[in-house]
Amino acid sequence: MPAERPEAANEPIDPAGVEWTRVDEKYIPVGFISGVLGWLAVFAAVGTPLVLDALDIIGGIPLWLSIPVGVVLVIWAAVDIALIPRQARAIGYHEREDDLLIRRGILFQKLEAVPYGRLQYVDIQAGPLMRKFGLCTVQLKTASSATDASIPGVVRKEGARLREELSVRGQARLAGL
Amino acid sequence: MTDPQNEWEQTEAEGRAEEPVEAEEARPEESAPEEPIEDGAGAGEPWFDETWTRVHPLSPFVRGWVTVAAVPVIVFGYNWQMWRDLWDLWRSGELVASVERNPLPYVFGSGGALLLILCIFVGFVLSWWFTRYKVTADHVMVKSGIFVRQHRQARIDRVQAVDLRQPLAARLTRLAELKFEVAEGDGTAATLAFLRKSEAEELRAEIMDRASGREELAQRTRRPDADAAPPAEGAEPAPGDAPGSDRPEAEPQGAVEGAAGQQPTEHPPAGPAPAAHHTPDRQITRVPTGRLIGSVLMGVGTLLLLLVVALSFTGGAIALVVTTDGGIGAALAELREDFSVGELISVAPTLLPALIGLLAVYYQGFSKGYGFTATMTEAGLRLKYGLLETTTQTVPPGRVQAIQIQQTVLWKPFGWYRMVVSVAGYGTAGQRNTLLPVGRFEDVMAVAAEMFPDLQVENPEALFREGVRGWGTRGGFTEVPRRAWIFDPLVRRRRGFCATPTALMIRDGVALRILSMVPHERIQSLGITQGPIKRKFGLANLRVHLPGGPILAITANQEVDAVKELFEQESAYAAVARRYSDRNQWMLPEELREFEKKVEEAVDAGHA
Repeated sequence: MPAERPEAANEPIDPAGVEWTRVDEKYIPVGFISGVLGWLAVFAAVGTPLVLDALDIIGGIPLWLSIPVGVVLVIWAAVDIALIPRQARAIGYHEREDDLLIRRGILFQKLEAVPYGRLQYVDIQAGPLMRKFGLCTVQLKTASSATDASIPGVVRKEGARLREELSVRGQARLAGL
Repeated sequence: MTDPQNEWEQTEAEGRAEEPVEAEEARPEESAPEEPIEDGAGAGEPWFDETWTRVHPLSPFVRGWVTVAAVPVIVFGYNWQMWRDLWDLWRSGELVASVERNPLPYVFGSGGALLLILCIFVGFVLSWWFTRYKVTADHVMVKSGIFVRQHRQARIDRVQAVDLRQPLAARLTRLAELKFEVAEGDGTAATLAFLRKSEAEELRAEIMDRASGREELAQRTRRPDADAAPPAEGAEPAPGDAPGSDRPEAEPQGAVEGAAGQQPTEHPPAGPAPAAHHTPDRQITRVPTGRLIGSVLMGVGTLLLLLVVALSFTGGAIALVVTTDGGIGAALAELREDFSVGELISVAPTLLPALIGLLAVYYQGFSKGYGFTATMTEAGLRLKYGLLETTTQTVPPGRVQAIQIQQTVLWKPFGWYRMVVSVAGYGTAGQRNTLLPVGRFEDVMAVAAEMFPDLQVENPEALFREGVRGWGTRGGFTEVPRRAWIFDPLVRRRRGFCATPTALMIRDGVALRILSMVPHERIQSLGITQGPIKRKFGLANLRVHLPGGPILAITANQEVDAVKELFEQESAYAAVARRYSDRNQWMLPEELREFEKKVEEAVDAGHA
């Protein structure tokens, strides 16, 4: 499977000669924690009826339903969590002269180009978990709501630099409006 | 009490409810284009002064006549029997006797009714009194509201389009409503209702001129020392020009003081004539009623109907065969036995709501498209349509994000097409996105030529023909590679794109043929996606991100190298081309020059 090489600089859709700036390694534990928490919530939601069933409070959940669903969920969760480090390493961005490239994904890959002149604003977000690790998410907005350009797991200092840089470049490209 | 006051406040509430949405939408760092400022406190300072103009006194009636008419209908309709009894009493003379005996309840009753009418009337007068507007050098401002006051404003240089609407009552009273659209959000920035039609037309012309920067241009070339144009607060209607305004070609374009000199017949130019910016209006196309009816009959409603009928037949057949023992033969026999016209009729009432819905769909299509004309004016392509409620909307070519030509399978034999346009501020759905409800290929070409005058290809007509009807790789379009037929067995040869020097054309579909055209400089950002299976096949999807609108510019399952090449090319264009940026005054010559230069550079760079 070609997807085995997340760190390879040139996936088929990547433009030639682009050196990706990868996000910080600290984003991996953040991903782990939020992934595990998310799956715990899923298991709690799915498990509640099973527990109630076992306690004879409610009844009627047949084994042929609960076992396969449980197995599928466990496998899914395991794969999902196991992929987190590689997914984090697959996120990359690259500042070109006129636009910013962002790539994501191993299996389902995505590449976006946001021209600086199109930037409406640059947002920096950081939830409690991200803050704890000193990271943030840089989000780019254009006039199109379809633009889905965010870089999660950037070190806060780098995030601030990126925002400054992008804003300056955006302003420069917008000069004269 | 359902008097129009409430309605008035509701519209306000909606207006405010839109705000958070708009705030989420792309909003630049600078001042927002529309801000309902609630300074309801108004301590000391009056809510408005004499610089604010009142709307037409009939406005509340035009707005609220449905409610006013509905009250008696509801009252009388609800207890019809009572009123009939009353009438009988009156005729027999008992009523008079009863009133003479004990007049008190009748006095209260009629007093209450009078009070209600008075309340409505006072409400109308107040809402008229408190609705004022003002056009300054930079803004269109509208204030309204009796108790909850509202102030909406739209920055003129960010106005994308001005629509002129005439609901039925407004048509009878020769009034019109102006809607100002700004780039962000689906909501209308400011609505000015109602003005005399002639007044509204003048104001629209002026605002459009200013929004496009044309007036600035005129001022600069003709009278560089002049002040900013006088605001149109005092825009008294020119006497006598109201009646003629029903003719689409004869609309008083740019006949406002601010645009003086552009209308030589009315305002003889004082100095040398401005650069040849005044062009007479040309009718581009119109939709004959016959074709409109045909297109509606062959339209969405019929398509749905056919689909439902087909589904219910197959569903019914399957159910019958499954539930009957002895296979299809037995099922058919049973069907023959059971089937009767009586049964069919007994089923009919349950279908009535669906039937009414269907008729409504037909009627909508007909009434919205009735009398559709497209006229090219100075300010843009003017579309006029409507059976009972007429709308005149102007689509400025410089603010068009993308256009799309569509043809459903039922229209194919007739050679009809529909055109949809994406203009920032129009929103994603609704009539206003329709550029042409139905037209032949020539009409499509005529309209497209106005929207995209220069495709910079040798034979644009052939390219269009290829785009809407063609298949395969002729004409420079791509297709889904043969090895990947399994992804798109039906539309494989139709799914592709073609990049001309000025626009990206994306075509798709067999049963619903689509050709989307996006000018390169309109592209906000781009994305490529690729899943594991497509990677195996060497395919990728490309999506072009446009500001909100009904057109989705996406082309799937293309050769990965072609997609990458297009990606590079488009990002190069998008990076430099900014002439049509939303807040631009798109007619200013330096913008045009700058843009041409940048595009040339980009093209050269692309070739190198």
